[in-house]
Amino acid sequence: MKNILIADDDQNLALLYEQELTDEGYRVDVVHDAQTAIERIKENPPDLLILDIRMPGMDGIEALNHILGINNQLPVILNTAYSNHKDNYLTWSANAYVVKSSDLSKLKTAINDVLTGERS
Amino acid sequence: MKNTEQNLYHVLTTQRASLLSEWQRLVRHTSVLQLREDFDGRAPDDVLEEFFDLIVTQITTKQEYHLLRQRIFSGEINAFSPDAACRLLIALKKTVLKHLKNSTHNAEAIFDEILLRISAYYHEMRYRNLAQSQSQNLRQRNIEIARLLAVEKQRAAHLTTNNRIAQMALSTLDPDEIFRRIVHEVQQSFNYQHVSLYFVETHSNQMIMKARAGVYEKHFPEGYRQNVGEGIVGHVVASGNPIMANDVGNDPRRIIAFPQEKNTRAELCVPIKTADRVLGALDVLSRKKNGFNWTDVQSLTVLTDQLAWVIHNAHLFQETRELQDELVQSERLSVIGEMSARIAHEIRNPLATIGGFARSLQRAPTPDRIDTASRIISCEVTRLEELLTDILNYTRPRELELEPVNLPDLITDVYHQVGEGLEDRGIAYRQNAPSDLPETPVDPAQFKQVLINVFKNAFQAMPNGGKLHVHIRKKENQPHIEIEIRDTGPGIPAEIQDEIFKPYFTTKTTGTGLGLVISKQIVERHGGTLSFASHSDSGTSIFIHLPDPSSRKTL
Repeated sequence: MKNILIADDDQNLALLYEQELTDEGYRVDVVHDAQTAIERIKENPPDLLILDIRMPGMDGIEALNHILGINNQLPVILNTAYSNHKDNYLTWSANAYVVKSSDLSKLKTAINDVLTGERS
Repeated sequence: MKNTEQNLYHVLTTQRASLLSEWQRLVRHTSVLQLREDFDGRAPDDVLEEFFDLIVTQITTKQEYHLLRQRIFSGEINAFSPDAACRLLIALKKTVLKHLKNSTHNAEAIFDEILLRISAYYHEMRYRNLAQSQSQNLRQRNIEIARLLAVEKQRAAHLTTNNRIAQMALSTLDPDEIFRRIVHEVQQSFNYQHVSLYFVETHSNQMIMKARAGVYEKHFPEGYRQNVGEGIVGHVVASGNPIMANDVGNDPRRIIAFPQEKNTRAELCVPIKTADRVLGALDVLSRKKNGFNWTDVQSLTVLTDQLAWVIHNAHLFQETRELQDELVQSERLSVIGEMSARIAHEIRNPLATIGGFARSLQRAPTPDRIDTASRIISCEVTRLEELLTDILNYTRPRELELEPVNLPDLITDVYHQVGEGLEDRGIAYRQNAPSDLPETPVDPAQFKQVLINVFKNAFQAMPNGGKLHVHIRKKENQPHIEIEIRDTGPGIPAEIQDEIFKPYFTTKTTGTGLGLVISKQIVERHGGTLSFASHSDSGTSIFIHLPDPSSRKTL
C-alpha cells in the first residue's frame, strides 16, 4: 500500500482528499502546514506528497525547495486553487501541477501516473 | 590719622615689590575660576598690575596719594568690578597691616573706610547701570514690539486680500469663474473705471482677455486679443514691468480698441508673473488724468502676486489630480491582480470541497458520510456567502441606516455570535463601559460587521487561548466614544503594520483580506476612526472612535 502525505491548510478539503484517496486504496496522512510536512518527510518519507501552495507560514513553493533538498527522489504533486503559479519556474520541479477541482479524477490520474513512473 | 596715612603711603611706595609677591601668593591660594569671575574674566595678575598702576606706581608724591584717595572716596575710580576691588583691598589690607605692625589700629580704620566707600559707590553704580540698561532694554523692546505690530498689521491686510482670493479659488474649481470674480472684486473695491485680465497664449505670442469688469464690459468683444509687445498691456507683458501711464491720451504706446475708450485718461498695467515667466497682466483704467499713484501700483502688485500663486496652484492641482488618477489606476490594477489570485483561492477551495463531498455522497451515501459531508458543505457555503458580502461591501458600500444603539449590548451580542463554541479555547472575555454612556447612532447591521471582523481577528490571534477585553470609554473633553478591543495575542509585527489597512492584505491563507479595510470604511462613514496599537509583548488593541452623540448636538 502506497503512502500519500497531503499538506493543505484547508481542513475540509484535506478531509475530502483523505476520504477519497483512502477509498482508492492509499494510506493517507494529512498535515496542515509546510513545516509539519517537512518534519513528517524527515521522519517517515511517504511515496508521494500532495502539496498546497497557499498556506500559512511557509508556502508550498518554498516548501518544495526544502523538501527536494532533503529528498530529491520524492514525487510531489502541487495542488492549488490558482493556475497562475504554473508560470513560476520554481513550481516546475514538481512532478505534476493540478488545479483544485471538485472533480478529483485529474488528481487521481496524476497520483497514479506519478506513482507508476509515468510523468504527466 | 595723618601719621597713619603717611605710613601707609610710605609702605605702599617703598614696599611695592614685596606687596606684589605677597599678592601673587594670595592669588595662588584662591581658586582661579573664582578670581576670573571676580575680575570680569581678566587674569588676577593683570588686575593687580592695573591696581598698582592706580594706587602705587602713579603715586610719586604725597599730593598724588591724597588725590587718589579722594578719587576713591568720590567714587571716580571704577576700574574693577566692586567685588574685585573689595577683594583686592582686603588682600592688600592684610599685607599692608603686616608691614604696619605698630600702628595697626589706625591703618585698619582707614582701610575699612576706603572699603566701605568703594563698596557703597560700586553698589550704587551697579544699580544705576542696571536701571539704565533695563530702561534701555525696555525702550528697545517697546520699539521692537511696535515694529512687530506694524509688520503684523501689514501682514493682516495682505492676508485679507490673500484670503479673499484664496477663498474664491477654493469656492469654485472653474478657473474662468475665479478670474471673473477677482476682476469684479478689484474693480469694485478700488472703484476703477475698468479692469481687464489678460493671459499670454504662448504658441501665438498673443494675449487674450480672460475677464473684464467696469464701463467697457460690453464694448470689448469676447476673447479680445492683442499682440505681445503692442499697446500698454503688450509692453508690460514683453518687459515684465508695470507701466503707469497717467496721461495715456498722449502715450504713443496706446492702442484704442473702440472709440469710447478715448474717455480713459490714465492706464495702469501690472504683470502677473512667476519667478521665471510672465503669465499675463492686470490692466486698470481711470477717466481722470493722473488717476493713479504708487499705492495703486503696490496694491495691484500684491494682487497679481496672489493671482500668479492662484494660477500656479491651479496648475499644480491639475497635475496632482492627474498623477493621483494614474496612481489610483495602477494601484487598482495591482489590486485586481492580487484580488483575482485571492478570489480564485477563496472560491475554488470551497467549491472543490462542496463538489467533492457531493460527488462522494452520490457514490456512497453512507450515514456517517452524509453527516460529515452535509456539515462541511453548509460550512463551505457560508464561507462563500461571507466572501460575496465582503466583496460587495468593499466595492459598493451600503447607505447607513443610523439608529440609536446601546453599544455594550450590541458588542456583547456580537461577541456571543462570533465566540460561540470558543469558550473551550480558553478565551476569557471582559467588557467595561461607563454607566452614563449615551445611546450611540450607528447602523446596527454594518457596525456588527465591524465588530465581527475585529473579534474574528482577535480570536485568530489567540489560538491557544488568552484574554479579550473590550473597554468602552467616554473621555472628558473629547468629542468621541472610544471602544478598545484588546487581545493578548502575539501582536502585529512591525514590518506589516503599514499594510494591514490595505485591501486584500492578509496574513491568513483564507479570507479576502478585506475585513479590516471594510471595517475601517464603515467606521469612517459613521464619522469615526479605526486604528490600532500593537506591541509584541502585550497583544493588539483596536481602537474604534465614534462621534459622541452628546457633543454632536452642539455642532
